[in-house]
Formats: sequence, C-alpha cells, structure tokens
Amino acid sequence: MQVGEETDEEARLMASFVKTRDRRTFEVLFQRYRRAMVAHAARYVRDRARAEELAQEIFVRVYTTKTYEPNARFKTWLYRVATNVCLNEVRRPEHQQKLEPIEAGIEGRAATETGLVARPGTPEEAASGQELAVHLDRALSELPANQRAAFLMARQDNLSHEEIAGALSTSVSAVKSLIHRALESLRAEVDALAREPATTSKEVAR
Amino acid sequence: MTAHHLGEELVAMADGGRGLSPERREELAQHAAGCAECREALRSAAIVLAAVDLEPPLEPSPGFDAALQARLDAIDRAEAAAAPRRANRPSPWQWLADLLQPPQWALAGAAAATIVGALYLTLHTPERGPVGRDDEALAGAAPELVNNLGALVIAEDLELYEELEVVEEDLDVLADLEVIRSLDDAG
Repeated sequence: MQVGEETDEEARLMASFVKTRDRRTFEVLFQRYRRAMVAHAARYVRDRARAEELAQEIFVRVYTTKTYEPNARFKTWLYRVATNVCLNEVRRPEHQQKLEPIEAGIEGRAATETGLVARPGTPEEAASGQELAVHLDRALSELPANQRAAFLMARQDNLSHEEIAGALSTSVSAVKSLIHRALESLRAEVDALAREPATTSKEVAR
Repeated sequence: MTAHHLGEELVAMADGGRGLSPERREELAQHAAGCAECREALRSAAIVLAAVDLEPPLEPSPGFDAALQARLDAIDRAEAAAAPRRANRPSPWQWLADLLQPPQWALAGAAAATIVGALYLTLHTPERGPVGRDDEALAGAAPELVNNLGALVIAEDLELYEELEVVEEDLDVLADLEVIRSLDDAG
C-alpha cells in the first residue's frame, strides 16, 4: 500500500474497530459487505452452503485483525483478505473438479431489459431471455476461477484493475487479460445461442 | 465467430468507452462504423455485460448473520478467558512497573514525539501460552525503556502483551492502553 493513497470512511471505521473492538462498528462494515462476500465466495465454490461458510471465515479474519493501516480503501483490503480465504479453499484437493452452476443464476429478464433484445411479445421470446441467462451462467461456471473472479469483480464490485490486481496478487496487465479472455468465452456462448434453431424456445415456455 | 480488431479494448468499448481516452474511443468507434466483425463483437459483448450487470445479488440464508455472531462471541470469550491466565504469571516487567509511578502514563505534547521516535520495541515469543517467553529479547529491550524514562508509556498489565510492536505514527493506540493486547499482522 502506498502512503498517501485515499482513505475512506470505511477505512476509518475499520481502524476504529481495531482499536476499540466495538462490535457495533464491526457490524456497520458487516452489513455493507455481507452479500458481496457471499457472492465473492460463490465465484470460487459454487456449493451455496460452502460459499456462506467461506464468507463467514472472511468476516472472522476481519474481526480478529490486530493491525490495520487505513492508507487505502477498506474495500481493497477486504477483497484481498476475501480472495486469500477463497484461494486457500479451492487449492484443497476436493475442489479440483468442474464447478456446477449455482442454483439461483442470472434471471431471465436480464437480456430483454437491455433493449438489445426486443421486448418479449410472446412467451417464446421471454423464454429465450431465460435461455440466455442459463447459458451465460453455465459459461461463467466453466471459466477458470481467476478469470471468473476478475471479470465479476470488475463488473459487479466496482473495483479498479489495480484493486483487482492487488486482490489476486497479480499485475494490472494480467487482470486486463483475464477480463478479456472471460468476455471472449462468454461472447462465444451468446453467439452459439443466437445460431440455435428457434424450436427449443417453445419447449422452454411450457 | 470471426475475429474482431478491438483486442482487450473490446470490454471498454462495449461499456460505452469507459476507461478509454476520448481520442481512443473516437478512433475505435470510427473503425467499428466500417467493420462488421467489430460491430458484431461489440453487440455480443454488450449483451454479456448487460446480463451480468443485471444479475440479482445473492442473499445469504436466514441463519447467516446469527451464525457469524455466535462465532464472534466464542472468539471474544476465548480471548477474555486467556487474559486472566496471562495476568497471573509473574511478570518480567514487574521491576519496571514498580520503578515507574503511577503505572499508567499519559502522553503529553512534545514528549510524545520523543517517545515515538525512540520507542520501537519488538518482543517476539515463539508461541502463545505460559511457556515460551524469550527472556533474552526482553532483557535486550529493557535498556531502551530505561533511556526513555522521561516520557514512557507502559501497560497496566504487561503480561498481556506477548508480541509488542509499537508503530511510530499510532499515537492514539499508545494512549489507549487497554487496547494494546498483542499486535501482529492479520495475515
């Protein structure tokens, strides 16, 4: 961390918590990031229960932190801790198989609400939006974990390339490459779907 | 899917040019206007980004918060149980505690700057617990304390501090003696 980087309110809260050990201060940070930490863990372990356990481990690490330097965004530090917890988990032998798509994936309304796909006039058209969501979710789950994590951190967590590089212990150029490769794989999925015959959507609508 | 020409800048362009300079954005937009492959790539990339952006956040299960609180409570209890055990051990710092009255010193003004510059104590114990205190390290550090008798902060109960690393700028921490337990990296 560089001296002189911007601090923020959350960094000051964390610094205060480390000094006072006041559970209410910790609670403020916990409430802000509880969903984000479950979501981040779910990028590494798709089993929902295990993802929640990992998220709890992340918060235990935050809670038991003894020294904290508030010279950067709290979020940056948190995601570094979180990624370390998750990477330690996936390096264990039982995680060397393919990930299954998580149950609650992308909702079908996503593509149709962008305006890029025509608004559904028929159940079949609505179903095709659902299909996109399911296919993208599966494509995401098939990405290497670091590509998936880098891509989703960039798109969903409002983290800069520098912050993602810090969380993944890699370079900014590596992060850009990870994001790019993830996007290319996901685009291929969209293109493959567009070329499928339309008859499948009728079956999905039933 | 034929290859496009935007390389790693595809994601930025599909995102409305965010992260690109206005000149570069204009340059790539001009190219895409005349290139079907790049337009197609931008279209499918935009669909992907929109779908991912609209993914609803995962909601933790109902017992999540309570389970964490229970773990944190257990951690606090374990921490509290350990402290009195440490307090009952004879303190190698007792000679110093007796020497300095009262046992707690408040930092004051310029004296604080003097301490802070001079006080860098690192006491490493090999492990936690009733054994393992490195008396050599303590003996070596003691003279530094003696040299700074004029403005010195000590803890009420020094047995609580198995590892003590005083960071130069952290005057607030020095002033709040109850908080200095053991200072080590989160890891």
